[in-house]
Amino acid sequence: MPLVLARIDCRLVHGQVVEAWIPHVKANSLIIANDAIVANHILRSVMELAVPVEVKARFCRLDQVAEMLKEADVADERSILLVSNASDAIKAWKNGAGFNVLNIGNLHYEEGKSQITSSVFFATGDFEALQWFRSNGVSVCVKGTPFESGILFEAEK
Amino acid sequence: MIGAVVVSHGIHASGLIQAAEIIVGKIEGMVAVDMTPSMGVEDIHSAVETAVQSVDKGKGVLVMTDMFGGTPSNIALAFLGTHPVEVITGVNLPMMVKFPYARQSMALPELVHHLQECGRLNITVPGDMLKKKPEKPDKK
Repeated sequence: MPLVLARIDCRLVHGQVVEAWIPHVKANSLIIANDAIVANHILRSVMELAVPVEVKARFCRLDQVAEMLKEADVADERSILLVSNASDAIKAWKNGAGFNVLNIGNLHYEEGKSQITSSVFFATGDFEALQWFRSNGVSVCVKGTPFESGILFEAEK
Repeated sequence: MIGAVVVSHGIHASGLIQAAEIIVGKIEGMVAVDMTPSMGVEDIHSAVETAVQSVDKGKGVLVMTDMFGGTPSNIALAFLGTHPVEVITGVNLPMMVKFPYARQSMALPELVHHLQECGRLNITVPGDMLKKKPEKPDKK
């Protein structure tokens, strides 16, 4: 079981992921699926610095997710998959990231968005994505850190 | 469970706890003592003592102070001989967020040295680290 957490986080690699989730789910692999980061060496190098040395980091495009997961699986690693928004999460899922629980940790505030928790704000497209996941058998859990209760939207089948 | 007391000049201590809890969630058994300019040495001493007692659950208490040589630190040192405490100075956020996980597997004497290491390793100049890194062309 290589994929131990699939998470939407607009900040991708940051304190909550490194200090809270990695030890909580005992992950030793981070798969950061984001087309923009892969295309930007500087952003990528900076983010790589934030990953602890004992954790393997893979940066990939959204169409490479299945390949990366397979690689991690072969290496017997426990992976966290990070995407930065809901439409990327759908792409990752369609491209073979077979998670059945999706965590939403951070989606920042913008004018017109609805507040779900203190750090998660939904635009119309996010509500649609939530519904899409639920109807495809994926439960969605909104929580920033492992020990808060969070809000669970159960899968519909 | 090992308890913790964070002691600082001004509201740094309660601010550090607030910041750490954004990252790792609620930290049980950790309290702040914020030293205001109006407090006398006796006031601070008794505030720290009350705080230590409130989080002492039998495994000892780590007192984290803001600066070696400062009053919060000097007062905290006075508890070394009389209470089941270890003191660490120069507390920073990386030490704070490592604390709740590290205490699950370590006794107080080991924990204090582990946090010292974490605190030191996290003082970095990322510009230097980036300069040392060879450019890796993207695998396409």
